[in-house]
Amino acid sequence: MLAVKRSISQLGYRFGCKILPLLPSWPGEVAFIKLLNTRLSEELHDGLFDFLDNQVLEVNVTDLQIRLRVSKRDAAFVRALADVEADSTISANFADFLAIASGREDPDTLFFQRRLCLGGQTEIGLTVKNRLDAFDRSRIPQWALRWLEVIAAELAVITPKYRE
Amino acid sequence: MELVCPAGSLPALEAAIDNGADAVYIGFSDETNARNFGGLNFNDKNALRALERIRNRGRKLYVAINTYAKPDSFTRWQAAVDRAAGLNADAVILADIGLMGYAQRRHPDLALHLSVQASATSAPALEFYRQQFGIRRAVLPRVLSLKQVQQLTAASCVELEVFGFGSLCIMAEGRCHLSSYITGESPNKNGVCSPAKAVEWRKVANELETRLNGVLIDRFADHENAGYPTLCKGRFIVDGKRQHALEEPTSLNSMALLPELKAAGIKAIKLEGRQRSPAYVSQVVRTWREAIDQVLQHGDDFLVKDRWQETLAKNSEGKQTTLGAYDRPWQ
Repeated sequence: MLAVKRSISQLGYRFGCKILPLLPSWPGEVAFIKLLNTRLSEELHDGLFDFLDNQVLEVNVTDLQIRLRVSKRDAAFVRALADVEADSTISANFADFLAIASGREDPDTLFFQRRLCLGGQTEIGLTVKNRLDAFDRSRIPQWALRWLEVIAAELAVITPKYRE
Repeated sequence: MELVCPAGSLPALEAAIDNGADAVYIGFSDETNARNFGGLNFNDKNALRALERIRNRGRKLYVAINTYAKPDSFTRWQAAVDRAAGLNADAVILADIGLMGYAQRRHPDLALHLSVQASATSAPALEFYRQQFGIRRAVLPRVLSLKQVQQLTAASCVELEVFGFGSLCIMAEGRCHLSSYITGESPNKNGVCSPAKAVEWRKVANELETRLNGVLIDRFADHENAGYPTLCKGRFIVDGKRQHALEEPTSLNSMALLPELKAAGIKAIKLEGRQRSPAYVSQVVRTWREAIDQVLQHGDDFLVKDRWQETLAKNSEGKQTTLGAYDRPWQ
């Protein structure tokens, strides 16, 4: 049963790596920004993300070749203009991003192991990391957290490590 | 032995409590503490939440105000002490003698711990701090060997705390000028070693270059692990050979010494890492909780388990663990 589950996830992952780079990035970006605006509304209200005002942060999911570009204007995250260069870039593969999001791995640990890379203005990337670390997970629905953990654990097994 | 754990955010504080911290140390979001990084630490709202969670679980809260006050803004450091006292924190961790004097006069009931940044390494120094400011505990600098720690514990008039685990720096605590030499900002004055705004990572061909205020301090090949971008851990060409001229990226791990530290009378073990995530805090605190419990129950039969070693090695900077300064047979 486990073997079947594993081959399905591997198939899904390989399919994702092939297909996702061919699709336009805007639907993913729109969904990502909507999620951020909903989940981080308290932080936005408290001005904790003001350091991103008119700055462009790029989240680069290396294996899926997805680039999500985020900026902030007024009191909300917005999509960045396509022709503007990113001020700061955070890169890792999908499994490692999920490992960070689900609390399995420490970003500094991944950084030491060269699995998480920061480019451009380090201060923006570091502040984003610290703000997300401070996010209160009890505000995420339990079922969503559970799913995140399951998918992160599965991906950690099937994804080839960045260094290998 | 008390396990004193780091928290740079509320989730990290919860992770420390859930995994067995006896005490958690935090800092305010400004230059009054030595981990003054963007997005890290506690504003008044979160500090109150932190205290509530600590009290609900019967643990202790320490506030690190461990940088040196500037002549023109001493009020900011005073305000930090007032805030910690207002919170009813169990202790403040201080390095600046002016601030210790202020805390003692203004808040006589507030317990003072001497920060590692104060770099007190002898019994007379500790006695001086006790007499003058009534400090209850001192955190020992990591320049000492185990033998020196034992001698100091025997002679000390205050409780002693030592570092158990975490990134090592060049171990000139409170006296290091390397960061300010190159960036103009230092841990002692600004609460940051290598401020993020001065750090640049750049991919050049197949290598990753690290620059600090424009100065190249290291270059990593694809297979090499990286460390924190500090001048002391950079590689430089000395005598024609590129090497770690000052210090290798290394983490301290004194777990194997726990029985000796306990026998010597060390009152508390401190874990480094307020800049790290809740994931690090969970893993490292749980490991040290198990180890300390083992020492308390079995005493001399203590052996470091492979599983503990693996967890600590994984979370180490430079992926090395060492007894560090505690192991200096030549001293």
